[in-house]
Amino acid sequence: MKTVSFPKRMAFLELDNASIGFGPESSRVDVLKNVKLSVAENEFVAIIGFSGAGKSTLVSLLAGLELPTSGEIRMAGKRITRPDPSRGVMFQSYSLLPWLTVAGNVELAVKQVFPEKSKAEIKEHVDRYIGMVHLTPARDKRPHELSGGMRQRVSLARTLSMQPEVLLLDEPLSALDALTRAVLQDEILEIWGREKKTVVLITNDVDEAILMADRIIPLTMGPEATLAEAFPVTLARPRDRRTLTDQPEYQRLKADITSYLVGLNKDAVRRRASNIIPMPGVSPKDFRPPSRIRGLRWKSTG
Amino acid sequence: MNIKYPLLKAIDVSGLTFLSPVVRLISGEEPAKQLRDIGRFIVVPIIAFLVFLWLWAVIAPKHRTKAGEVPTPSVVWDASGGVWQFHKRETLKESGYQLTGEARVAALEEAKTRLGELDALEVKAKAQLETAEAASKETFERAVGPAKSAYETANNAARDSRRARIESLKTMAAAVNPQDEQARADYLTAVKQADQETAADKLKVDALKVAYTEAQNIALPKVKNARSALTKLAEERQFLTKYIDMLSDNSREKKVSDSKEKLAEASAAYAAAKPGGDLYKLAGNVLKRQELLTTIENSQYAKPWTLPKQIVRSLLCVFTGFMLASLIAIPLGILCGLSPTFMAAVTPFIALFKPVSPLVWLPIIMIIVGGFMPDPENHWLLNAFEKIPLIKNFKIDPMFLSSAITVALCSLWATLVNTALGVGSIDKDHMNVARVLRLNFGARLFKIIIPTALPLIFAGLRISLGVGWMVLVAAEILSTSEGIGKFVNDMYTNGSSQSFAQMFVVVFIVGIIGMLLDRIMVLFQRLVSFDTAPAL
Repeated sequence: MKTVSFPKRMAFLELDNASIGFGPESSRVDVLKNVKLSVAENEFVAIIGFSGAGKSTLVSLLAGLELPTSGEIRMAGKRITRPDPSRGVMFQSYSLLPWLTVAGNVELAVKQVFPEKSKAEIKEHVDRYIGMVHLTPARDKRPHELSGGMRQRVSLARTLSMQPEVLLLDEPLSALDALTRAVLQDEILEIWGREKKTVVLITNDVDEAILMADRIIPLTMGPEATLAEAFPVTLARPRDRRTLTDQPEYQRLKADITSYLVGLNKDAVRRRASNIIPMPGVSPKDFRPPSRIRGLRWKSTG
Repeated sequence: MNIKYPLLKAIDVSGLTFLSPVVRLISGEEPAKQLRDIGRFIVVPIIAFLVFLWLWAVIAPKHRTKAGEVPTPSVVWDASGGVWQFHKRETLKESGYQLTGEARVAALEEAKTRLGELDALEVKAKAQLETAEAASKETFERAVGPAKSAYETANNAARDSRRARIESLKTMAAAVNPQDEQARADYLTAVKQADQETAADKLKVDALKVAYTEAQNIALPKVKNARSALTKLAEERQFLTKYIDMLSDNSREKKVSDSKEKLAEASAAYAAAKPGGDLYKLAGNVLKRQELLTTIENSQYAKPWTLPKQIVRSLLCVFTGFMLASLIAIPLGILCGLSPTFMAAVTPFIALFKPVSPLVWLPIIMIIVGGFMPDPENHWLLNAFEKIPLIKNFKIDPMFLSSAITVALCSLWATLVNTALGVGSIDKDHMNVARVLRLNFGARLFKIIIPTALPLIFAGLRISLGVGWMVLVAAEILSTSEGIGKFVNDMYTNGSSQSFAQMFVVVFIVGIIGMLLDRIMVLFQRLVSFDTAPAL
């Protein structure tokens, strides 16, 4: 039984007023603005938001694949300036190398992260992590011969085999069907319980977030998205997906988070609507084709 | 049943997909569908090819050229047999020249026996030709007779009327008064008219003469066959005579023993010489004989280039050029793909040099290569080629190198562009993986970038090889570097009876080899593409 220890622990992974924008200096649009996040060691944090809100950019910042335009990101107190195998990223698109087998993909990571290991040690290491995601029979298959769920497992095994301190999961399960997703959620939770890692999970699925996380943080709508107030999840672990939905605490959390997200969306729509500038006395030109062509059932007239 | 799936996979990877319905049909899978597929992918192409052959056979003989009729498929087929026979006979002579002892005697006996058989065969062939000529004499007469008599009649009539006109003009001349201007003019008109009539007659006679010559060309297949059979026997006799000569009087064994005898004589003379002025001359004699013996012992039959050997040399040349192109284009392409700046620097060169014809490159390269090799006999590079076991027989000369470099220059662009494209289009996610793993430049290049680009690189290599093969034949024709192109050039310039048909043989050989090279490259391309597992 794991009890929730939020929030009185030392921050392990920190975003300190980080902002990132794209485009030229003169007309830069901030995707993320003044994001503050503090993740404790071994904590499982879920970040939830709509598509396009800037979730993947957030992962890129945490991984060090992109650097913030202002503010800073720290791990264990040290500033992050570039990617590092100690922060393993699991991408939504699997990003497996198609010409390598399952074992080959994992081995590439192991050889790079543990250059001192002998050949036999590397093989043992690779096989252990392939076994951990239950892929031993598919060890010598290539990615195109595997299903989506199996490919994501390979990606998980590769990420875990680097033995990172932090796992960054960028919507790893959103491309999978519901059944496969459930199986993989359980596997990730089981491995997390055993290996003790700090996890940041990016998702757009409220159920998934409640099932897996210690804390759920909504990301507001972009541009200039930022992290909102966190929802702590106090449900006891291990959480059983069959009985979870019956618990009043679950129902309350889901209702709260959902209504918060819906509110965000309405707010965003309103903000967008306010961008429309009324132009009195100006009527749009008639760009429709002349009537003779309109007779040909021109699509735009319909 | 067990072999079915590996077989289908192998067929798929090799790109011979038209065979898969056959395999499926044999294993009893949906026979109706398989038969339909066989019909579409095997029977239809065969029918199309037969239609092509038929059209060719019908249309070709209708056009006459200086080099004879355009050859029909059967003539081309015969010519390909002739090319092969020439190769076989020359190879036989080459090996016959080397034979010694009993092997030589045995080969000699065999050749003499065959020569003996030829007499009877020739008599028979001559008789057949005569019979055929006699049998078709009537047909010939019937076809040619009317045209001949029409021509002769017209010719005689024209001659007679011309004479008559001249006579009457001469008679007229007696009555003309040269002082009378009008009479002079009238006479001039009469002469002019007579000349015009003569010219008109001549035109008619010429037309009939052409018809008569045409009629003489009437196809008499039996006579033609009998004549070509006789020609073949005559060719064999000529070969056998030469071959027997090379096995007996002109064999290396005989030459060596003669030379040894001469050396022994010279040595004996030297040993028996009295001290004095003669000794110098005799010593020189011995040395000259010794040298001659060595030369004869190492001598080879001067075998002319035969088409099979020229094909192999062409393949060697295209392969050399292709390798050269790959060595330049792949690294350059990778640099282009990695660095947009480098790409920007290279783009104008690609645009400028890609469209340049091999026929422009070749003379320039021949001069440049010639500049590097003022004395080809003693150049280190060519001497290095001379030492490579299989290649030394192919006489690597500056022309060969020029052709290979031309092939490289014309074919490298496809590989260059495709490699740049392959390297440039690398998946961003894969690069992110590489960054998270902190792969260094070398590991990124060899573990991520090149494997991603390989299918496109091979697609480029495939195009390059195809272009190279096309360019090579042109380059060989122009540079007269031994090879398929040289063969075509020889056929074009020497104009023997079979040479026109042999050019057609070359068309098919070049086509088939090009097709095979393409198939091989497709196979490689499929093997490095990761969406298909390699067939094993």
